[in-house]
Amino acid sequence: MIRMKHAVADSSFYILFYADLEDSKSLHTILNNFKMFIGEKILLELKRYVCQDQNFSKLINDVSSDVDFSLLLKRFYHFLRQEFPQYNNWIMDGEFEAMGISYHLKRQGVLNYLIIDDNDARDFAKRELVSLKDALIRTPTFLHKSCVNGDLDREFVISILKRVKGAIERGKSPFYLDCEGWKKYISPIVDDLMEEFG
Amino acid sequence: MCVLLPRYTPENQKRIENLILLLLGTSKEGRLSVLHIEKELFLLQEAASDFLTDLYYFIDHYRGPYSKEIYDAIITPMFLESCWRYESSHDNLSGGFAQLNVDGKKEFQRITKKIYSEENEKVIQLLAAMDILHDLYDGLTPRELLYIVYTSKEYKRYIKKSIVYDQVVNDRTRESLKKKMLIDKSATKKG
Repeated sequence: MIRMKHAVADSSFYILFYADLEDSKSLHTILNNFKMFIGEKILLELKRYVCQDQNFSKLINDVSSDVDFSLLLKRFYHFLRQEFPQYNNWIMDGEFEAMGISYHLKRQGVLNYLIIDDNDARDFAKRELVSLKDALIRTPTFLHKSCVNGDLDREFVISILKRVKGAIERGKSPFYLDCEGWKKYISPIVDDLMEEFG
Repeated sequence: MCVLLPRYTPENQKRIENLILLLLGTSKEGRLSVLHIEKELFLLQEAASDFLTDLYYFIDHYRGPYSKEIYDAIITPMFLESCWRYESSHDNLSGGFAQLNVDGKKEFQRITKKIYSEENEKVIQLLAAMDILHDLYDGLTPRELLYIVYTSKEYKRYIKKSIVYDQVVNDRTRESLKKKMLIDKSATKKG
């Protein structure tokens, strides 16, 4: 039996579907094709969306832990912020939580993706959390890779990525992107998917 | 203030030695300074207070938070005496080093196999927390690690008895930390 890939995502991933695209069905499709894990802090960040989505709790895997992984990560990041002006931004609790859950899955040998879009959280994870570097990915690259690996349907992924542009034009900022960012980062992925499979 | 110190029991001694074995076993080289072991288990206790608080206790000491229970278990283990070798050191910060040996590696494999086969979720979480600690702190020198402890506002209470504060908290340490923090570690081999 083929094991479903395991993934952890920060809140921007879910908000893309709930708020930016207003398309929870596409999120359900992804949750049906991946084993995705979530902690209580991210759930709290999403509560206004998930309380209206009865399918979410059936499709997501709740994680609770006796060890406060976020605390270990936060302590270190607070030190960096205090000492070095380069680390002047705040990382949300949910992002630390996603990193912590990822360590837990990694320890069990089942971590495939840690989806983080926020630049500061990504930079921190990339610089300091060497064990997670192979799993660290942005939402657009996750969608692209999932398509290439056959975990998600090509038309499905292309449709999402194209609709991201529409969301930006409507004034939203899915995974912190503007129009320029879409052209620079997303458009080449759409072109690649259309050419590669077209 | 009255503090209830952990009571010595052979069972607690064994649990502390197993924790040290797991910490060494999950590290890249199977070798850590005594200072790293002490400080990483200090941070671990804070994050896993439900099941580590009663096991060992930290006091304000010459080089930051110090646990006699942990120190004694590193230097003179009672249950795992053939698992690691203690090497003394001439510097005044590291406290020497503990190096996992062949028996220790075998014991680590045996214990972790048991943990996974029994699906001992709590200990698997501890192992994951140790992985975080290794990523964050193993690449630092004892001086750099102590700098972080001494300058973090949460741990100010551990400065009072320090005999190495000025040696540790200075621009030289800050600069060496800065160099380490601002490189992309994912592109380099961690020490």
